[in-house]
Amino acid sequence: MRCDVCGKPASVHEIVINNGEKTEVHLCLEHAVEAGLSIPSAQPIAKLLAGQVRKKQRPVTILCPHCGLSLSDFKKSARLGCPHCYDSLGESLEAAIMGTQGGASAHHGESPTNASTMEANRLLRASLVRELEAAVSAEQYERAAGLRDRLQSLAEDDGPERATGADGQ
Amino acid sequence: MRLVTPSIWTAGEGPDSDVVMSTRVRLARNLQEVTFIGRASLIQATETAQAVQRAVARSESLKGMNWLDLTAITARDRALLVERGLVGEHFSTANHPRGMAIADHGEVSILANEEDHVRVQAVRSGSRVAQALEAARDVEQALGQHLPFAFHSRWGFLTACPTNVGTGLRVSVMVSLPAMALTGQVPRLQRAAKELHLAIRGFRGEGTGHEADLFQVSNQITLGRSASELADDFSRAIVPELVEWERAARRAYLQANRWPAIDRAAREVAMLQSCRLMARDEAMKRLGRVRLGVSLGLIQGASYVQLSSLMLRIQPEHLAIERPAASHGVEQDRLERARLLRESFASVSVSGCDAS
Ligand SMILES: [Zn+2]
Ligand SMILES: [Zn+2]
Repeated sequence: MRCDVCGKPASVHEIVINNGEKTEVHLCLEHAVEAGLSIPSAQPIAKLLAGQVRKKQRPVTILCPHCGLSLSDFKKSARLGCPHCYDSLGESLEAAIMGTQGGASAHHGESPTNASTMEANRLLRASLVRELEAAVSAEQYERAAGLRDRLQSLAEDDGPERATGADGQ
Repeated sequence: MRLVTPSIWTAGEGPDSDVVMSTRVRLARNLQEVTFIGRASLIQATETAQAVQRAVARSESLKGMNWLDLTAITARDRALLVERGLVGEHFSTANHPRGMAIADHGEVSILANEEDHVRVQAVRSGSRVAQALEAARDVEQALGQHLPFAFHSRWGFLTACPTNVGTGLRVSVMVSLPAMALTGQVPRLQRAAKELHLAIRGFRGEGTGHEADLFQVSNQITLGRSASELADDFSRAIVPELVEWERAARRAYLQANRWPAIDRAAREVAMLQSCRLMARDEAMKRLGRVRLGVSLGLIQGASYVQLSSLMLRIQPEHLAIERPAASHGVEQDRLERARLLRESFASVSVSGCDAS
């Protein structure tokens, strides 16, 4: 079923009876909230996501290239694998999140304070090194070359910062 | 490690403490570019725990916290942390590298490698949602100076479970609802909670019964509204509503059942004054009933402060610290627990018993 308004996958289905006339209404969460319909609350997220994904993919399909999360992994734990999953899983996750969050579709409120870029780079470097090792051992040379470039540009960015000792270390 | 100082949240005082025992606020955070704990390798998990520990040590306002390596402390110390409500059973017994920083007798703590890389939690006695949020936020901001938190322009702070995404905030109040339980209003409460997107759990979290008529009420929605707005829902609407509901149930119950209520209270006190063996679960149940008697004004000589601290002191590890016995075992435990309760209730009395 598709949303009557925008055509996205519908999550709320209502039967409206008006003057003895029965009409079915199908809406995505966003438009259901707008229409003042009650949102099915607290559905298990794994079930919701599985419902979204299954239409297109098999359970073993890798959903996130960064961490290798598959649909069956997610169904088992109901946990994502890494921060990139939020982009990798795309629309399926979007619908699942809105389903468990009462129709909310974006964050509102605080954003992070200025985190130390030094620590950020250190962590990023560590994760790139690991990815690089994995790419090399899997003989994915093209990917490895890309990762090496990113590591190199990261090292250049780091130079002046290290010289001024921005992080007090 | 010795956590012998009673933790603040069992102090049993604070606003609306006849109903609200404690308030807890948790903020979940993860590190940019780092695999979540569920899929992290041993090396990655070690690096994350070290990064959190380093951030605590570097922060001017956090460096006074005590760092505990959960893989290095004894199983009994871990059990003590569980009894305190500082960590869950799962975090306590997991196998991966993990640790925590604790300040002020557990009023504020930071968990590294729980379900998320970082979980900041603040606990206060009574109904103090705003203060708990402020305390948790101070720690989160101090950590944020040294740790890059994963943040998404649309989804906000990213969490391992999408049900926590956005603010990563969980507000949870531990409420004592003996009169609502006694008068069969728990299903009504559960229906109302569902409608308001609130979760209701037992004393020890998910899947536990409502031991001693204690319930944890917490938000399920973490996205789309700011942390302050979500917290305000609790302090302005949810908590006052719950408190009023339970108080009304207490008044109505006492009015309709004066003698049964007095009889019940008197029997409970007599039982606690004369027991010789007492299992943990039974003790919790009886302390919950005594709490009802106190809230109805029927029991003299027992305060909420005393009852809250007893609920902690009768737990196995706390009992063992307070009363080191020559031998430890279930029987010894039950003997010591009964002795502690008899002593605590020696001068407690029930009013109205001699009226006719
Ligand atoms: Zn729509
Ligand atoms: Zn991922």
